[in-house]
Formats: sequence, structure tokens, C-alpha cells
Amino acid sequence: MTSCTLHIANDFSPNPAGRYDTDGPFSGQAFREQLLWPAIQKCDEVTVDLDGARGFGSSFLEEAFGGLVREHGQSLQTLKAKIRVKTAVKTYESRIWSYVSDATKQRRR
Amino acid sequence: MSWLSDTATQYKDVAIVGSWALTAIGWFLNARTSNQRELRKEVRKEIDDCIKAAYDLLQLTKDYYYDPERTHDAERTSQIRFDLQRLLTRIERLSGRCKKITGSYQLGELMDRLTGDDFDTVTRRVLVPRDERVRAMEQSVHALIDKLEDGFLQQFPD
Repeated sequence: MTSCTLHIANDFSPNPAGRYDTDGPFSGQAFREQLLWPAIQKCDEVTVDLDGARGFGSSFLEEAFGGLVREHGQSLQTLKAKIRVKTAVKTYESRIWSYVSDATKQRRR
Repeated sequence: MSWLSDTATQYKDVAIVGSWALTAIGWFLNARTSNQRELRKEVRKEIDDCIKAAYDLLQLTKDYYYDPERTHDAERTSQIRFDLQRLLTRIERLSGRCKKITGSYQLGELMDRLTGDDFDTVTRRVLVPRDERVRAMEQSVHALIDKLEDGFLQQFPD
């Protein structure tokens, strides 16, 4: 079993911001397309470490994780089995799974 | 008369032990009450600080949404994200310390209302004070404050 760790502050940006690529180079879409989705394809388990960044907006996290459902056809179950969220701020983790869950529900409609 | 002397000695021993036990219990209860009072004071101050931080964060966020010039104000949005993270961390720590002070749902709502949708994007819509989204932001701050206050009352009922 292969596992990968993505430390957002070190591997992407300590100041992640925005939703789409048009919003800047460190948006949720950029993170998902450049790091998160390739890691999910390559590894059986992906740990996403949020600690060390200068805070996260819902827009960034929603696009990064909810986008996995909308743009890459992933399901909540698959993502829960693959992704581990590491963070000192528990609200971030609960919101991430809530975004994935909401995106799954919207896709079913 | 020796039985009388023995009984008196036994009572004396019990009285000595009893007085020590009462002193210890009194000391324990006093220390416990004093610690509880200190904890109450500390938690009250932390809640007041969190409430102020939530108000300040709301104001900072509203200024960002009201001002058309702030769409590309990375410093402002970065500050909002940072302050939000500080507030989340403080409240989560408080919840860890006092089990009856919770607010995880309200924190999530607050985070989404302030930094969701088009926050930090180039398509950000400029808001006016009577906008529905501004009302939702204010509501989420109210809900969080109410939850903290309710938790405080449950944690320290007297």
C-alpha cells in the first residue's frame, strides 16, 4: 500500500487563497489539479496536512475537495477511504467532509 | 473502672481522627471551590475575548465585501483567514477544556458565511449593508456567541 503526504504550507503555499485558477496561483482548483488529484491517482492513501498555513477560506477548501466529486467523479466513500486530513483545527476537517458530502448530493440530483 | 477509661480513650482517638478528617475535607472543598471560581473567571474572560474577536472579524469581512477596491486585496483576505483560524483554534481549545462549551456547528457556519462562495475570488460580488449575505454573516456570529454563552451557563450554573 502506497501512501503520500501533502503538506499544503510546504508543498503548495503557506497562503492558499481563492477558488479558481483565475483567482491566483494558489487557489483551491490549482491545489486539486496540481497536487491532490495526482496524489489520489498515484497513492492508496493520501494525508493532507493543513497545519502551518495562514488559514483557509471555505472557498479554497470547497473547491479543492468538493471539486474532486464535481470534476473527477469521486464519491464520498472513495475519498473517505483514501484521504486523511491532518489538522489542529477540527472545524477544517469537518467542513472538508461536509463539502464532499454536499457535492455528492448535488451530483445525484 | 478500667472499662470507662478505655472507652474514654477510644472516644478521644476517634475525636482526634475525626477532627483531622473534617479539616482535610474542609480544605479539599475550599480548594475545589476556589479552583472552580478561578476557572470560571478564566473561561469568562476567554469567552469575552472570543466574542470580541468574532465581532472584529465580522467587521473586517464586511469591509472587504463592501469595498469594490478590495477584490484584489490579498492582505485583507489573508488577514481574514488568519483571524478566522485564530478564532477557531481558541474556541476549539476552550471546548476541549470545558466539555459543555461547544460550537462546532456554529463555527462551520461562521466559516462558510464569511469565507465561502466567492470570497477571495476575482468575481467577488460587492455587498451593501442590507444584503441577505451580510445578514447571514451577522446571524452566524450571533449564533456562535449565543452558543458560547449557553455553554458557559451550563458549565458554571451558579
